[in-house]
Amino acid sequence: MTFMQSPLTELKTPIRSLGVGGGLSFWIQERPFRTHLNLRGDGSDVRFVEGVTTATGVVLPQDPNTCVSSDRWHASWLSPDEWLLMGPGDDVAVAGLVDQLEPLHHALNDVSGGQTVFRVGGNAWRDVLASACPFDLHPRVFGEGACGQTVVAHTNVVLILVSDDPRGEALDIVVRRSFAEHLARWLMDAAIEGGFEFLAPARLSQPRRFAR
Amino acid sequence: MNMAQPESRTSAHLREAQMLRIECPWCGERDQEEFQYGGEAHIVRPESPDTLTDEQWADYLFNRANTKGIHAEQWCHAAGCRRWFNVLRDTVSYAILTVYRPGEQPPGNIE
Repeated sequence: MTFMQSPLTELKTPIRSLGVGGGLSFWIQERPFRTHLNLRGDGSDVRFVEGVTTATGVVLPQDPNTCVSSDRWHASWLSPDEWLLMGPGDDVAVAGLVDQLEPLHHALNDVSGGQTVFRVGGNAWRDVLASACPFDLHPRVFGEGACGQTVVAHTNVVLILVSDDPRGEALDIVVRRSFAEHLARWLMDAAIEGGFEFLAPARLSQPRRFAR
Repeated sequence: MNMAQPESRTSAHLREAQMLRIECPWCGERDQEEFQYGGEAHIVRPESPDTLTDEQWADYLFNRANTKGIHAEQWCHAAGCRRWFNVLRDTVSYAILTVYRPGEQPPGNIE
């Protein structure tokens, strides 16, 4: 049996560092082992959009820099014919998507092994991100249902605003696996002043499940 | 002895450079850091390269207008939607006058 491993196994989480005033204004937690699918196709083709909805429950967002969720899947706009689908790692749903899209012109790539997600939050998260990111994170332009591709600490990322986290407003950062530790260390460094907590993920490795 | 730390490349860059803000036709206004420059726009590949002389082919490949003033150029939103598009930029002031999608012609009313 092969195992998938979190790219952050070298970071001995949890890490806790109190800020200048003794506070903790930022937290990070990795969300590893989710299914990431890169989907390309014609968003104006009704059969294509409905096929994705049938398999995953999400209606592909057509507006730039927006995203939608169903109870299990999340779709982010990446470019006029490209979306990032993130889901729970359920082989059945992926197989359903393959079946739905089979007769249509499309490209569906499983990129789960190549990237991971950090969820960050706390009352200083916008300030911490702004220290290394040229993207406008002000709530006026980056509110509920927004996502965007940009660079954080010279690393390409997808930023997705999370409004249903029980800990409060948060941000999902989708980052390439090989840049994950660099970004994690940069964010911790940026958050030192206000204090931060790097929470351990639910698990650091899990058996690989092969689709088909 | 001067023990000051050498300035990092990033901070020197931010201090000296006046970064451009570029409007991607899909994503809206973003920082220059997300973009890649792609040279002069509207260069059409010759229909039948076989029939060209070496000079004509070299002219297509290498020779550019090197405009001083308003320049139509290609940019790619490399760290965003990864689409190519066209920009009219003043090469003297660096001011960006307009952006338009590939396949479109520059608006004629810009002086």
